[in-house]
Amino acid sequence: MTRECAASSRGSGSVLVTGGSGIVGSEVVELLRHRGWREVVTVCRRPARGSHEVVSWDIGKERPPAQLLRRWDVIVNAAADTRWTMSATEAHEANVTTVEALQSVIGDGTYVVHVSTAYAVGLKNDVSSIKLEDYRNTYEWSKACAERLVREAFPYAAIVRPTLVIGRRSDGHVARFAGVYTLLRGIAASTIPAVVSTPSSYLDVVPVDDLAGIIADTAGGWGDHNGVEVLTVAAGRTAPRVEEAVTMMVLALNAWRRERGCVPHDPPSIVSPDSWERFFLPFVRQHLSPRQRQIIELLRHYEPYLQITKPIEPTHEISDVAPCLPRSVCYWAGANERLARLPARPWIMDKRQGLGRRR
Amino acid sequence: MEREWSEYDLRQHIRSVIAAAAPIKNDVVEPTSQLTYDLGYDSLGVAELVMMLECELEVADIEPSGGVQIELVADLEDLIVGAVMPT
Repeated sequence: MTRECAASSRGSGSVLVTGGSGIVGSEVVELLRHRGWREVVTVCRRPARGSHEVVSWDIGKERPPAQLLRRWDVIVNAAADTRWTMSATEAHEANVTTVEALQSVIGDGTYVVHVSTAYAVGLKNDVSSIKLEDYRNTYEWSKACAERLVREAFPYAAIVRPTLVIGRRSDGHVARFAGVYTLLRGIAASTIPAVVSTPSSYLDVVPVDDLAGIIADTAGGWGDHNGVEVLTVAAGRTAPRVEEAVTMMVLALNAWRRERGCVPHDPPSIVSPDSWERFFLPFVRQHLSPRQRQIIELLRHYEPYLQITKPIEPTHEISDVAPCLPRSVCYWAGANERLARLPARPWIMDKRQGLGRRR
Repeated sequence: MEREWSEYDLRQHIRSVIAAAAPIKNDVVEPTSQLTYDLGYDSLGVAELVMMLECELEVADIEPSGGVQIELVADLEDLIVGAVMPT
């Protein structure tokens, strides 16, 4: 979806976008303004200095500001905490309580576009379970809970479920670096000793501008909807495999590094989960520093997303995502020069002591 | 990196590393900036950040004492300064 196609969308009402400083929210705000919506107001927890048309509201922790208590044609709820390491309480507060709080600003006829995640269906391919063990982490569990609440509370809504979001298709630009960028940061900083994955695992990514286009199109049809619909935005079967994605990311990072006279990184090894759990992990734990052990344990939160072998089935398929990865890497490197230029400190296999020491 | 740091210079350096590695790029990083909400760090990001600083400043594993939570930039500065310049 390109900005030029926007003319076909109805738009032009009043829209409130929560999470306006986030990866998705900021892109949606920019696009809606570009499409000429009559009124686009953003909500952030702490607006940047000098920002206009941004209302400060810590959703769920404060009452809504009086200026928000009025009629809205559309509310795009992009506010969320996407960390995979939150406690259940933190996740509920960040991702469910915020939806509860929105009820005070949503009037009759307001169309809600709720940004969820394709992974809200957890391990059972369903959002109905309230059990944490049916999800990969508290983030998924809380997003499932939020979806159930959206269905109960809002008669006119769209639930948008994207996979992992990366930078714009055109130039890799993104408002913040989370999700897949954790892997990139780990490669650059040599804090990921290996990628625990299988040859058949997918890394399903969607460029943020493609996603924002779909959200804006959905918002633009605000008078035409009935009930609650679910949109899954994903590359699906055309998503790159994890090994291919990691290779592309390392190649792009090394091309950037080479241009600046930095020695290229070796790509991290891809190790199967079985080998990792049974052989590598027990062996290396004996030889790691406390900090390295801490990082290995925290990386376990990310491993489930590198071991998804069943492709997501999209309602809105995003094609040709593979070339977007190198662009996202280059953008990340430009914005994180210090990290991107770090010397490689690979985890070496010392036959006497095992994997673990950094050079 | 062999260097004699003044506390002021060390804090400025730590702050610059925190800002440079932050998932959210903010123009202003202050001691009161929250690592998570303002700068986008999760627990893995903080651990990697500490590891980078340990490596750069050549100090061994730094652990917060007394169950101190690292939430603000100032908390991390205090932790690192305490390790590099023990009183």
